[in-house]
Amino acid sequence: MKREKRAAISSKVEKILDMPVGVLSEIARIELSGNRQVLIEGCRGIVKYDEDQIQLRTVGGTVRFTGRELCMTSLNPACAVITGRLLSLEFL
Amino acid sequence: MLAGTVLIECEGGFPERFLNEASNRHIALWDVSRKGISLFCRCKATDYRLLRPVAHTASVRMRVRERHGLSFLLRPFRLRWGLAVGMILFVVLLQLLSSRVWIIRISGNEQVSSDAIREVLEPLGIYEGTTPSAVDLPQLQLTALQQLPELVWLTVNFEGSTALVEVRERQEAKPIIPDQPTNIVATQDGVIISIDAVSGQAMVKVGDAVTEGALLISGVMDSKVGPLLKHAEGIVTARTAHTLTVTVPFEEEVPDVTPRVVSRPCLYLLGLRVPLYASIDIEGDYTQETTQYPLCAYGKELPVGVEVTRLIFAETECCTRTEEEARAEAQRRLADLVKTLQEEVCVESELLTEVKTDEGWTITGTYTCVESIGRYEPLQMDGK
Repeated sequence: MKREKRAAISSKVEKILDMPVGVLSEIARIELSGNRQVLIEGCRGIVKYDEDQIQLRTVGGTVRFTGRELCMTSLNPACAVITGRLLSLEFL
Repeated sequence: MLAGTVLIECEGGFPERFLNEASNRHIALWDVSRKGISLFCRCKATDYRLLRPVAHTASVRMRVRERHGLSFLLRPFRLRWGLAVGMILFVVLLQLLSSRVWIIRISGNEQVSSDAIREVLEPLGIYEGTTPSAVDLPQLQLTALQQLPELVWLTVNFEGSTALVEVRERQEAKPIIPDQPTNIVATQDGVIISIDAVSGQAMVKVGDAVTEGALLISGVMDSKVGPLLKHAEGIVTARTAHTLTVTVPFEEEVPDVTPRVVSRPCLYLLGLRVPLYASIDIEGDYTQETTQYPLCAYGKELPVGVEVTRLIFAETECCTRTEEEARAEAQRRLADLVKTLQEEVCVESELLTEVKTDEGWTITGTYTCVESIGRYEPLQMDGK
């Protein structure tokens, strides 16, 4: 509850001060390169890993990537890189 | 990668938990992919042991499917320590030997032999096995040129393990005839058949007989203002006589046509010589010839090969000749002498006299020749 409050305040401050999103608030940074590669910064762990679906827990919530031939080419506490043919990205 | 990598297959349990746990323990995994119920990922070979407790926690069974890297490539040879020693020795020897000079190539010399240059350079530090950094090049050039006055320039360039010695020989300057008053005098006795005085005053006429040293063209010319001293120039041709005598004894010690030769091969390797013959002292009078047969690679001689030393014994044999054989031999030897004479003069006629003595057969040839007999002689001034 406290975390949610803190996140809400951080967002408001960012909005008032016209700062870029994520400077104060803790949110995941997801960088898509077409539908071939996605880089996720702020990855907190893997929830589900399948051939055509990968669910990651990030600082801002859970993100689900669906596609074909998905492969996690890099995984470390800071970020994860997923390659393959991405079809969709959902925030759960 | 030198350390090596492995491809792991994980089955059963909770693969996601396995990945999370590995990430939390800072174990790097990459190329993570799911195929059916199996999860494949790559990690460093050294990290595989660290993944075992992770797999145990996630109830995953790990199997190594592929191994890559130098450590796995060399693994079959880990008990063959001789290979490692050989490899280390190879590297060390390569490093040591490549920093030394093993081939000395001398170029630019025609009159001075390469062996003579090599003999001078050896005490100055240019020899097989020397290190280029140990050579004091300016000092070497100075000393070598002092010891080899026939050379005017010498330099040594190092190209890998080859020392390239480049030399320039001294060009003998043509004798310069100074513009000083000279006479032309006769070099030998003869009868003048032509005289062409370009400069100076002719002192003899065609048909005159002259002796050696006689004045042919004088550099002193009379004029109204007194004698003029000139540099005499001209060509004086005379008919001269040459006598050649050859005596061939009936019995003679002549060198053996097929002398006894003893070959002594030895293997030379980087300046070291390994004899390939039994060391037996050989007595007798002999001359020594040494020939090297180096191994070649890509047109370059290597400092490895076979050196053959041939000991040629100077043996003689007694040759007994009949009168006919002695005469024929005398004629042959005289013909050789006449051939040499004809290189310098033009032979007009010959008169041969053959005499048989107790010692052998003697042929005396008197040759009438036509040749230039003039030679320059400086004018003697003030009675000097």
